[in-house]
Amino acid sequence: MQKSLHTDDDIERVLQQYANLVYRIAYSQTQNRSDADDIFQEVFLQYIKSNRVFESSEHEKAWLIRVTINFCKKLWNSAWFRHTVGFDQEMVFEMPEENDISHALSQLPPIYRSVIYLFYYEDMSIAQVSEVLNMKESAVRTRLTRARELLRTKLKGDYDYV
Amino acid sequence: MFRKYYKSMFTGIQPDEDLLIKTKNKMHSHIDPKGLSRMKITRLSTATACLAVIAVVAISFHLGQPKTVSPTSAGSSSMASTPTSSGNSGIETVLQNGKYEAVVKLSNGVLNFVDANAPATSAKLYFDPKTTHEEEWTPAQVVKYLGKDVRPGYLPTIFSTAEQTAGKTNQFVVMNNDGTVNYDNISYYYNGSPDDASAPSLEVKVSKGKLPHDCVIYRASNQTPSNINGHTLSVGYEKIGVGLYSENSSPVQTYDQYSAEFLYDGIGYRVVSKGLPQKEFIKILLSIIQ
Repeated sequence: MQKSLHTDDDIERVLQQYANLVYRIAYSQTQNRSDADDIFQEVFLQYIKSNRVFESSEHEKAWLIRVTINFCKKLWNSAWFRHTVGFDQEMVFEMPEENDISHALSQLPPIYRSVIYLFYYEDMSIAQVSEVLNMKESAVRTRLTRARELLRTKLKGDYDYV
Repeated sequence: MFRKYYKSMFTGIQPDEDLLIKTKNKMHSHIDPKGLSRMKITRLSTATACLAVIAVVAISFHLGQPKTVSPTSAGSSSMASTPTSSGNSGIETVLQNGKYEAVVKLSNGVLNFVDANAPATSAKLYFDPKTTHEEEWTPAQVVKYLGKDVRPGYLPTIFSTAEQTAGKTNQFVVMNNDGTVNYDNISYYYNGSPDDASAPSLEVKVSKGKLPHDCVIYRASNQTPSNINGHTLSVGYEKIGVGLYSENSSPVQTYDQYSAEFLYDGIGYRVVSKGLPQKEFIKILLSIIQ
C-alpha cells in the first residue's frame, strides 16, 4: 500500500476545513446521500494518496472542488450508474420552498449543478467559477443562464435568481 | 430569494459523524508514520538519497539475494527483491507505445480488454471490534501466509527504485479473535517517482483463496473471457483524464489504466497499472501467471 507523506494533523485540518464543502458539492451533484457518502470518502482518500503540496489554501480548496466534481462525473459516466435506477432518496426539508428547489435540482441535467452550487452556495463570482472549473467565463455565464431558465420552468414560482 | 432558499437547503447537508470517522480511519491507514521525517530527508538532499539507492542496489547485487524468504523465518524484517529481467513476452499482437488494442493474442492465450469505466466504489466493510482485531504482518509473515512471494517476476525498469521498497513494508490484516484470518488486504505498490503522484505506477493486490475485496469491474456477462495458459482472467482498459477540466471540455492530460482480475494458484489478484504501455502491463501479467 502506498503510504502518504501527510500527517495526522493534516487529516484533522483538511476534514475540519473542507468536509462540509466536499460533502455538499457531492450531494449537490448526485442528489442522494448514498452516492455523496461514497464520493466523500473517495475524495479524501485521493487527497491523502496524492501527497500533493498546495501553494495556498485557495489552491487546496480548488483542487478538492475539482476532484469532487470529477468523481461525480465519473459516477455519471459509469455503466452502473447509467443502467440502474436508484431508490428514491430525495431528502425532505423543513420549508416547502426548499423541497421545491431540491426537486427541481434533481431534474436538472448534472452539468448545470456544479455551476449553480458554486455560484449560489459558495458565492463565487463568474470569474472564480470559471477558474475552478477551468471553463471560459462566457461558458460559465451561458451555463448559468440556461440553468436558471430550466429552474424557472420547473419551479414555476417567483424566485429571484440574482 | 432563490439564493436564500438554496443556501438554507444546503446548510443542513453535512457528512454524518459515522462517515467522518470511517473516512478519517481510511485516511489514517494511508499515513506513513515516518512520513514527515522522510519528507525532510528527501528535501535535505536528493543527491544523497540517489547515492544511497545506488549503494543499496550495488550491495544487493553483490550479495546475490534470493528471490524469496523462507516462510519459516517469519520474524525476519527483510525480503529480497524480485528480478527485473525483461522476461519472455509471448505477445503475438504487435503493440505500440501509446496505442491500445482491445484484443491481444498471446502465444499461450488471448486477452480481451473491456471498457473498465467503473463506478467509484468504496470498501464498505465492517469488522466487529468484539470478535476481530487488526494485526501488522512483516513481509516474511505475508509470504508464509500466502505460500509464495506474489510480486511480479518482471517489472519495467522505471520501477527499479520503487522495487527497493515495495514488499518491504508491513501489511495489515484483520484477524478473528480465534486466530483465523478474517480479511487480508495485501498490496504491493510501485511508483516510478515517489515524489510525483502522476508518475507511472503499478499496484498488485492479493487475497488468499478469493479475489481481493475491490474486484468489481469486469465480470460483465457479455465479456469474452481472456486466458493465459488456460487460466481465465478478466482484463480492462480505461483512459483516465487528469487535471482541471469540465464536463464538456477535454482533460488537460490523460493516461492509460490497465487492470486484471484473476485467481491463480489459490490466490486472487487485482493488478492495476497507471501510465504504463499495454505491452509492459501484459509482460507483468505473464510474469505472474507462468
